[in-house]
Amino acid sequence: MDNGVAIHIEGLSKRYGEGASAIDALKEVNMSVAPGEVVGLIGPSGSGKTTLLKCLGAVTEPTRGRMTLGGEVIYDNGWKISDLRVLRRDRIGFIFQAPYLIPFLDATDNVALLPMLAGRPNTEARARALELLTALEVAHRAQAEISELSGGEQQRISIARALANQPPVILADEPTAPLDSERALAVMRILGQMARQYQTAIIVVTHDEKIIPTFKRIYRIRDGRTVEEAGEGREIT
Amino acid sequence: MTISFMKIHLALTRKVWFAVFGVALLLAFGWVATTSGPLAPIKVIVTQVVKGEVAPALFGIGTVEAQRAYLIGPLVAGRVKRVLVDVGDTVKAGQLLAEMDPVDLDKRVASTAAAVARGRSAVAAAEAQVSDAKSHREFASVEAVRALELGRSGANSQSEVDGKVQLRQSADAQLAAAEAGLAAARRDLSRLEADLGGAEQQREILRLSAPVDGVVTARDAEPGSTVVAGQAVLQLMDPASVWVTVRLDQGRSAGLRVGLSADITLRSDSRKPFAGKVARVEPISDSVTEERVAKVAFEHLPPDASVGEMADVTLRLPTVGDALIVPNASVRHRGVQVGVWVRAEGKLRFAPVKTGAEGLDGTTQILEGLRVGEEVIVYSERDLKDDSRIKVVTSLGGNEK
Amino acid sequence: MISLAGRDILHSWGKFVLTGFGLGLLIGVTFTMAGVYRGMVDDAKVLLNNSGADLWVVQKDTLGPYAESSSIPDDLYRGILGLSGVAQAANVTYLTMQVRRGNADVRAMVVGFEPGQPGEPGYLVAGRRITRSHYEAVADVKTHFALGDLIRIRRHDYTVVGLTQRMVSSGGDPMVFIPLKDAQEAQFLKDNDAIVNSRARTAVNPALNRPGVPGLLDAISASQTSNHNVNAVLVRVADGHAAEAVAQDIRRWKHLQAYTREQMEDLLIAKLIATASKQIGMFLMILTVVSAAIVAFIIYTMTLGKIREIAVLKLIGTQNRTIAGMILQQALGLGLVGFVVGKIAASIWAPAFPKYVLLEPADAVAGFVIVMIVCVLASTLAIRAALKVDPGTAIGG
Repeated sequence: MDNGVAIHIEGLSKRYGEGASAIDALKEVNMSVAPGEVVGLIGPSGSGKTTLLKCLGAVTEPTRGRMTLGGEVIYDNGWKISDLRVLRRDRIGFIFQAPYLIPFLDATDNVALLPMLAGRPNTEARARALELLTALEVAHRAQAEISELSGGEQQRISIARALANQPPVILADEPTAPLDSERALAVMRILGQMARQYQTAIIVVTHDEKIIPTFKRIYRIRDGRTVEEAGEGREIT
Repeated sequence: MTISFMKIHLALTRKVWFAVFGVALLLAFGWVATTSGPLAPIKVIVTQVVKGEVAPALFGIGTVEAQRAYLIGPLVAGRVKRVLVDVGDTVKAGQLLAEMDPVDLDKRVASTAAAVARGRSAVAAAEAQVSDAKSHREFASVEAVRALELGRSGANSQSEVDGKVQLRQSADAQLAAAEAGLAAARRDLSRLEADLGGAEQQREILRLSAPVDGVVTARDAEPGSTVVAGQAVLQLMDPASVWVTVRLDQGRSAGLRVGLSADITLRSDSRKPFAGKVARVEPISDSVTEERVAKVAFEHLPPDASVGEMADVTLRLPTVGDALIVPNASVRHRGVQVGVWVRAEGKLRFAPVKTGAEGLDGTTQILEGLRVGEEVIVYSERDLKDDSRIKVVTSLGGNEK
Repeated sequence: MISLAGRDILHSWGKFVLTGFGLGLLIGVTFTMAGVYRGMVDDAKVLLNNSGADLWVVQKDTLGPYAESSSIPDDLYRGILGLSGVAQAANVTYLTMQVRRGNADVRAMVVGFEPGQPGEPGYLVAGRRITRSHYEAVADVKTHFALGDLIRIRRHDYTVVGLTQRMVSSGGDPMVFIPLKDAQEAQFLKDNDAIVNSRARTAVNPALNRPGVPGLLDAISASQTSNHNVNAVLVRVADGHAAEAVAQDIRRWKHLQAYTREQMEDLLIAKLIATASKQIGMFLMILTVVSAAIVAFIIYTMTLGKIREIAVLKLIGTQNRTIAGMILQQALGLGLVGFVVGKIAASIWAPAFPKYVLLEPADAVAGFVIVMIVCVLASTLAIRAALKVDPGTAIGG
């Protein structure tokens, strides 16, 4: 993590279609997030936030622009990394709207899967998983079947999964949408803790009013353009 | 880090169940592979060679026949006039059974009898003539003698004497002629009497009578039908002479001889066999059916036996004692060789054997090739080879329905 | 790395096993069809082996005695015995007919044989061999007769004294062995009504019923009811002689045909079984295609049910190779369970079939290979679907 910037994008644009019926989902988006920082990406539906997340997550190719991850240029009017899958595996963590845990693996293996995919031996991967589960206070459910876990427990495990390969950046897509305010704030507190502890940049896409006040910095996105704002930065107890 | 005991238990249970199922499946697969199909060993039943008795017997089927049966019929062609008995009647020797139509034979007898009567009168007439000629000659003889005397004394002329002598000679001749005529009439009478006798005998022949006591078995011609010489009008049999003609396969008739005791089972009453004995072994066998023929007599005649009825006859041969015996199911062929499969030291061996007597119950005597106590294969599910794997059981598919 | 396929199977093992069971039954049916064909071929081979003969001598220009009817005089065997190379020659008759026990009829092939000669059953499973020259029988267990049963063949009753196993005709009918003479009568002698009719017809024929010749009518009636024919003569060749050479000798007799064991096998399998084997072959192909389709459908459905997980896995960095491998392994696992269940099921229900079903180990191995290949091919549909999934669908869904 050089330059004190975990992820940096400049002039990112994404056009769908050709000619007269083309849609510009992203128009010259600029964004920068530092390691350990939790920023919010806020906007209504249709504003392009999903498209931006997909570009940041290296699942969609932008049309134009520049993306840097931990100082390394990954996109400059064309992908500069040969294997995007490896990029996603090792350097980007994902937290989805729903936990999306693999139902036929237990809690530990859901988290340990990522280090295993990266080639780590099973024992090491499981040790790392247990470490994360402990940090997230769900270690007592390490052997549990996913179907037996509560929503909150599942979400914490999915957060552990996102952290499993120590990625420099985590993309969180509406992580608090189904939760009540107490739980939502608890999630945000955990994310803040993890971000600081592992020095991971976390970009949280949300339109949940309950948690917006917790961000120190916000990017508002509207019609494909982003505007940086200062957030309230309220402490979570 | 607390780990719930319940969670581990459930996870283990699932794995355990799966493992149990997997192992059960593999075991079932293994069991199926080794006990069925071509890989499985052949199931066999064994027994030991022992010493015992063999009760050999000969078996054949026979027909009940009458030893003495008679065809009653005319000696010449004719028409049947009447039949006096019917099938099943018991008759005595000499009894009149049937009569042929005499046609004109009666009239011929009458005419011949009349001719005989006439012949008798002709003889009587010839006899009268002879006595007349005799008396005539007597007289002529006396006259002739007197004439000769008178001639010598000169009273008669020579011509008178010659005349009387000549009369005597002619009276002699007449007597001879009359005697000859009598002889002829007598011979004629004999001839006519013989004719009459012949005609009467012919008449007798048309009467058919029973030659012996017996039972009528067939009535082949009704009154009015024409039969030829030799054709039977009635058939008779002597019921005391009923016996069984038995046919035995040539290949299985060793030991057949007169005097063997027999069990005869009639087709009409199979529960109670009759005792009998071989009365005769036919010197000529049937080469077409390859059978030998024997006649078996009943010890006590069955009351209701019918000629032509089928019978099963078992002839008992002398028992063979102290023989090595095996069940005949264990005797098999390998190619042309006859032998028995022996199990020795866990291996199979085909032992060629020579068999001796065989009982009707399947006990077979072994003359060569086996020893007492050897274990032989009696029954097997499949054909055996030298390298077959076998498994000894106590019962095979034959005992299940 | 853990086995994703293994974990998935373990997680829903009940469903997997049940599906495998159902597939297994289908595969079992396929094995059984192949077994039916092998059983038919084995029936033919067993028929030839059990007769104990090296040569079959039949009427000229026929394919008899099994494939076609053949009738020869019963004294020909004597001449054949005289040929060099012939160790044993014996008459046999074959007739497929109804055999009655009590009120029930059983369809059986009645074989007339001479004891100790080719044609006699080689082994028994119960009872004893025939010792009397008439009215005893040895029956195959497939007739469901028991020792001591009285059975009726044509006009006589026979006592079952012995039982055999696997003595069947090429059509699968069980055999009943009776003495040759009884079998000749059964085959060539008509029933009582026909005999009475024929006697009456002869009696009214003036050429045959001559008054001047007493006994002529009886002699003619007797000759009409005598039977001196058999279906074939079975020959055992002496050691050191070639069967074909002896057969050539016999063929030189103008009215006879002789077949060696190989020629008989060829006749039976090529001619008798040809149509049935084509039918079974087609059926096997259809079953294989159906099985493939079912496996494809099952795997495809199982994969579709995991589409979201697959998208997530792809997003978080799982290789396409790993995902394809998971699907393939599940298909192969399903195939393995199906094969094992199918083999066991076929072995269990094969004896219940009316005809002989022979499940050979080579067929099982071939079946295993085919099942695996079919599973691989069937999984391609699901693999294509999985690879086409866009990982981005996990985001914003």
